Parts: sequence; C-alpha cells; structure tokens
Amino acid sequence: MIDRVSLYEAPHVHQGATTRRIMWTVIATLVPAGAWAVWIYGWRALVVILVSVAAALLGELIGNLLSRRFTLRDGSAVLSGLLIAYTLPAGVPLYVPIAAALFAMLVIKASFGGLGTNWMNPAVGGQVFAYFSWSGALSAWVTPRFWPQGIATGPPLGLSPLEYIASHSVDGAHLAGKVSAALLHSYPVSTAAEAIASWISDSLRLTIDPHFVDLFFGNVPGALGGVSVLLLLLGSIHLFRRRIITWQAPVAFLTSFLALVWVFGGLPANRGWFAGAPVLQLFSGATVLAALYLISDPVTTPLAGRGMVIFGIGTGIFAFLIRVFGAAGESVFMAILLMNVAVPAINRLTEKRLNETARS
Amino acid sequence: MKSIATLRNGGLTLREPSTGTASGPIRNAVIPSIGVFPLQQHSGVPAVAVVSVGDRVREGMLIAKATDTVSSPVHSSIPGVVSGFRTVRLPNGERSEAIVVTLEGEFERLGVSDPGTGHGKSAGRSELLGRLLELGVVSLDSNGIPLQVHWKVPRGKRVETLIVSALNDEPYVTVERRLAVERRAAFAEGLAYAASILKPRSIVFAEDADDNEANEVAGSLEEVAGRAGIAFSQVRIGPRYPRGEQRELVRITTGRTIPAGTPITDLAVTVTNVSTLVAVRDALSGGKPLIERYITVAGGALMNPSLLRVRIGTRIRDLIDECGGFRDVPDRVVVGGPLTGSIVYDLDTPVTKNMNAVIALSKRETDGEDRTPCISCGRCLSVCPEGLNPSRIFKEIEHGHYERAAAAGLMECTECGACSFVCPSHIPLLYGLRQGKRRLTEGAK
Repeated sequence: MIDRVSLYEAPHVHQGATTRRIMWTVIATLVPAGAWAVWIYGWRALVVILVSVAAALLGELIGNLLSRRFTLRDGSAVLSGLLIAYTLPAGVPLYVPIAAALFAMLVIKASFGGLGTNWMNPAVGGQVFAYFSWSGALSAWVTPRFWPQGIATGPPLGLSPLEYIASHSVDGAHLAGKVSAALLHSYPVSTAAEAIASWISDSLRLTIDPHFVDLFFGNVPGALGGVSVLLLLLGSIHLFRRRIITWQAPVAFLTSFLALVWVFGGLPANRGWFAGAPVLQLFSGATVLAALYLISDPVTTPLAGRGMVIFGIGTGIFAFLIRVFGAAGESVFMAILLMNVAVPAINRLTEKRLNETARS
Repeated sequence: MKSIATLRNGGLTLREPSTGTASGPIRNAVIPSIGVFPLQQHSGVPAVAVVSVGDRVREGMLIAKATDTVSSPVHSSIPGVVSGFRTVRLPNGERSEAIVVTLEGEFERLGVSDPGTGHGKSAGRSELLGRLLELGVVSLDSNGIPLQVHWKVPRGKRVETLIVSALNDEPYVTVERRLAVERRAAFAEGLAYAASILKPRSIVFAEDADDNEANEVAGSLEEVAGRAGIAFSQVRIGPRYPRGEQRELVRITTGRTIPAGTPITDLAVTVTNVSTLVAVRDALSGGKPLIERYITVAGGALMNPSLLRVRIGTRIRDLIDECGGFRDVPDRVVVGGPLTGSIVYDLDTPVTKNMNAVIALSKRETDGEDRTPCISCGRCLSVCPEGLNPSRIFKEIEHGHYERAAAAGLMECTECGACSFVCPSHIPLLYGLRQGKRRLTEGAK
C-alpha cells in the first residue's frame, strides 16, 4: 500500500481538511438540535443520545479489535451514534438505540471493512433495523416542554403530527400526506406558536397555520434531532459554507419529494391533484434531518455532483411513494437505503471525461 | 479583444500563502564561487562535455555540446577553471554527470550592456532555430524541451495559435508576471522572434485576470503581432488552478482538447512563456547563450523570499544564502511549484535551465497528515480538470490493475495534483497515478 507517512512527494502542500476534522465539524453542527431536544423533552433525551453514541463506539471498538485498525477518534462512530439517536423518540426503550447502533457499526460498517467501505448508510440502516424490529417502540414520543396544558379531550397526547393525521380516516384513506394539513386543526398547538403566527399575519400580512410554527421550531412530539427544523438549518449553514455538504443532493431530494407530494399527495384521499401538503411533509418525519445530514453521508452516496442530483431525485421519489402510499414515518430512511444500492451504477453513469482515450 | 475565462471543469481556487511569497523587483543574485553544470538540463539526450579538468573557461563558453537533434549544449555561466566532474541527483530523481567550474578570472559580459543589435531579425526560420540550438536555449518551463525541437514546425503543418502565458499558477511562484513587466521590451522582442519562427495564424496572450501590470504589457505585444500581420487577442484568466498547465491553457484559450499522449511538438497550438521569450531575445539579439534565468526563491522557511536573476549552475545553497538563509527549520526544499514540484536531496543541487522556482517549506506549510481510508467524498472528482475519477484510478493502481487504470483514463491525467491537495483522507493520489503512468509506459516499451 502506498502510504502517506514520510512520503516526500508532490503535492507538498494541502488544503488542510482531514476526515477526522470533517466528522467532528458535522457533529458540532448537530449539537444545537440535540441540545434543544434535551431542553424540550427532558433528560431522558440526553440519556438516549449518550447511550446511542456509547453503543456506536462500542460497536466500532469491537470492529476495530477484529480488524486491528483503531479508528475511534476519527469521529465517524460518534456521528453514526448521534444520528441514530436523532431519529428516535425521547421515550424509546434503551435497548433500541443500543441494538440499532451495534447493528450499524458491526453489521453494516465493520463487516464490509470499516470506514469508507460500507455501501449502506450506517445510521439510516440502524434506524430502519430498529423500525422493523420494534416499530411500536419508535412511537414512544414525549410531549415537549411548551405543550398546551389540560387537553384531556384532545387527541391522544402521545401522537406525532403525522400519526395524528394518519389516525383520522377520510373516505377510507387514512395515511399521512394523503390529506392536507387542515386535519391538524384539532391538534394541540402551543400559545407561543399562536402568538408568533398572529404576529406574522399582522406584520407581514401572511396567514400561516400556527401548527407549522411549532413544527418549524420543533415543539411537537418528534424524533430527537429531527424535530427542530430551525436548528438543523442553522447548523448546516456552516457545513454548506465549508463545502462539507454540497447543495446537489439536498436540493434535488427536497424538490422532487415536495413536488410529488404537492401534485399527487391529495389523490389517495380523493381530494384531486395539487392538493398535497408539502409544508407539513417538509417539517415533519425527520425530512430535514435526512435532507441535510443523512443524504450527505459521503461514503454511501455518489461521487460526482451530477450523481448526487440523481441520488437526491431518486430518494425523493421513493420517500414520496412510501410516505403517501405506504407506511408513514420512516419513508425517508427507507428511500435512502434503496438509493444506496444504486450508487455504483450512478457513479458509472455520471463519469464525464473531457479527453477520453479508452473506455472501461 | 479581451475576455475573462478560466477552467471550465474542476480546478480549485488556491489561497496565496500568508508568508513566504516573494514580490518584485527582481534582484541580481551574487555570482557564485562554484558553478555546477549538469549535462542534462533539458528533455532529450544529455550534452557531451568538451572540456577537461584544469581547462580554463570563459563566461558563456561552450563546455558541453549537443550530439543529437533532441539535445542542447551547455555553456559556463562563470569564468574559471574546470575543477572536476561529479554526478548530481536532479530533482526529477535522475542522475546526471556535471561539470564543476571554480570561479576565477575576468568577466566579459558583466556590466556590459548587450548591444541588442537586432541580429538575425531578417534571418529565416531554420537559421534562427540553428542559432537557438547553438546558444543552448530550451523552453524555460519544467519540461525544458530544446527550442529547436519545440518550435520546429513540421513540413506541411502550420501553427494555428501561439499562446504566450504570463501566468503563475502555483502558490509562491510569482516570477513570470513580474518578468513580463520588468523586461517588457525584451519580452515583446522575443515574441517577434517566436512569431517569425512559428508563423502562427494568431497569438493569444494569457494573463492573470487580477494582474493590471501585465495588462499594460499587452499593448507592446499587440504591436508586435500587428507588425507581423498576426491576429492578436488577450485572455484574462481567473484564478483557478491548474489554469496554467499546457493542456488546460489550450482548452481555456482555444476551446480545443489536446488528445492525451500527443507530443506537444506535434500540435497546431504552441504554448510558451515570458521567461522563454526573454531568453530567446537575449540569445538572438544579444548573442548571449542561455547562462542565466529568472527564478522564484520563496517559502515560509526562508528569511527573505526573493525573485532573482541567477546564473545557471548556481547551487541552491547559494540561493538560500542570497535570501538571508532559513528563518525556520525547512521540512523540505522543493524545486518547481509546491503542488507539482519535487524535493531536492542535496542543497548542492544546481539551478538548471528547466528550474523556475526553489521553495523552502517549513513544517507548518507542508502536509504531514497520515493517510486514512477513502470516504468517497468525491472531492478529487470535483477538482479534476480532466473529469477523471482519481480515487478509482488510484485503487486500480494500488491493486496492480494497470490496464484497468488506463481504461479509467490514467493517461489523460495531467498530474496537476489538485486531487491530492484536497483529499481529506490524505491519500497520495498524484504519487500513485504517476507511479501507474510510469508502469504503463515502461510496460509499453
């Protein structure tokens, strides 16, 4: 193997990035969203995060012991553990993050040869593994700190917005995304969100549903890291500026997913074309977490920017199909796994040599 | 005509280093007490020594002659006595016999302003090329192809475009654009010679988009082209590495892609630079053999980075003294740019015709990170100006699959090093690809 150590070969200078620094930077930008979760859901959220990260480190360590190559400090295991926790509810039984993180590190990552060799996104794979194993446990939502008190007559307190909509039946069709956000009208909304919505309508002459305010800030029962759209967006700004994540996959994914939801989302409920609820879908079900942090995993996504566009569009299509015509919540995760399979083909398709002399 | 262009595919914007760069004006370096003259300072067949130990040599005297068409003679840059022969290791890793001259006696040229007779302006193509061969003039870039070879237009062919580059592409290296300003008249005169030898249909002047001084020089060049009845255009090129690399420069200025593997002497496009044209002028108008050149001596480990006019054969050790010595322990001393150059093994290595920069890099500036696994981030692809997949080619080479590496485009690589420069896993992509190319060309022989 050609080694860098003591190699006095060109180039003699470097831009400065290292894998380790990239990983820890991504982790740092995820901290605000996690801190928010701990604040609004309580210490239990922190326990889930720490247990998940610890389990991921343990899994990585076991893999390292087998391969005799130690990579705990490169941050990749911590990041995977963190992302798994961020897809889970605060009330999840602790064996779920433990099993999911161990599965991610050992089965998905280490068995293929460790960092860089896995074809499936470890965090997403771990999440989906947990979903198929203990789907009930993944609905152990905790109601947030700023939740209206005393809604005894309201909906079951534990439901996330998507589940809440799914629990309503409209003409026999009863899954989230099939219907507009109007169904949220009897869903709890915080007084702060109502105040903000009325301030916006007064000063900007823009009517918005206060539920969207709660969803945007992350004041609903939801996944730990996925819940605060605002903090995820803020955190990712730094990553975009440093080009640690590129725009292609997130933009392609959100565009295709939301456009499809908007155009076809109303059909299953017999509401006609262009009656879907893209804003609701954008703000719930960890869509933004997936768009910014899961779809940008370098290892399991295409190499070229053009490939990332294809990957994003494909993920959007699958996420739409699964969420609108299939199981609701985990759709984005499953869509990513489906597209992981297509990565080698996408890489071949998107090669663009300027001076082609021979073709493999 | 003026336009701003840059790389159309890949590349990266390099930040100018905060310390260690040299700015003008160009200084004359002190005459070295010892001159070391390798017989191989150009691409092609080494010259053959025509002096022996104890011989007295004059400044500018022929000390090794060319015995092949693709070769170039060597002249002593100092007066003195041949004190010996020794083997030097050149920065490209090869070894060459060298003539060592100890300074002694009088200078005939020093301080004498060259007459600039305009000798040979009326001379024909082959006479001019013969004169350049006699005076040992080669292309003053890293290739160092003898000009009688580089500028020979094959019978029945025609040079469409002559590209004149005043670009400095790599960090620290700044001598070209400075030279264009300081020796503006000589530069223009050199272009007139190039035009009468190559008889191109058009001349393109490629300059840095933020270089307003070079912009002024363009006027003199345009005059030259106008007098020769050749179309002239000026392309201002935005800062994107590797815009100055020959294939990329041709693509930027003409939109044409040179098929990989084509020898650059076999093209309808010829690329040259300021240093070469100034040397051509000094040879043809001043009758001066190629015994000096302009060089960047820079890097954060140096006390006073400088642009120097230096006699060929001066040892790098002397250049470093000239720049006030080291400020910091150098991690390595590089010849050529920091992205593509090679290290010198010995500070007694002399300045050769094809050496445009000496960069002394401190530990803070060099890449000391260990290699980690590839994370398929795709950065190497996104910066590759040729649209290659360096990581895939590298993996094929590392597994010994040279043919598969070739099928993935290995021979299209222009060795700019942008892939290695950005790789967060610090995989030595450029090194690996160079190794692979070497294996393939050796295998083909």
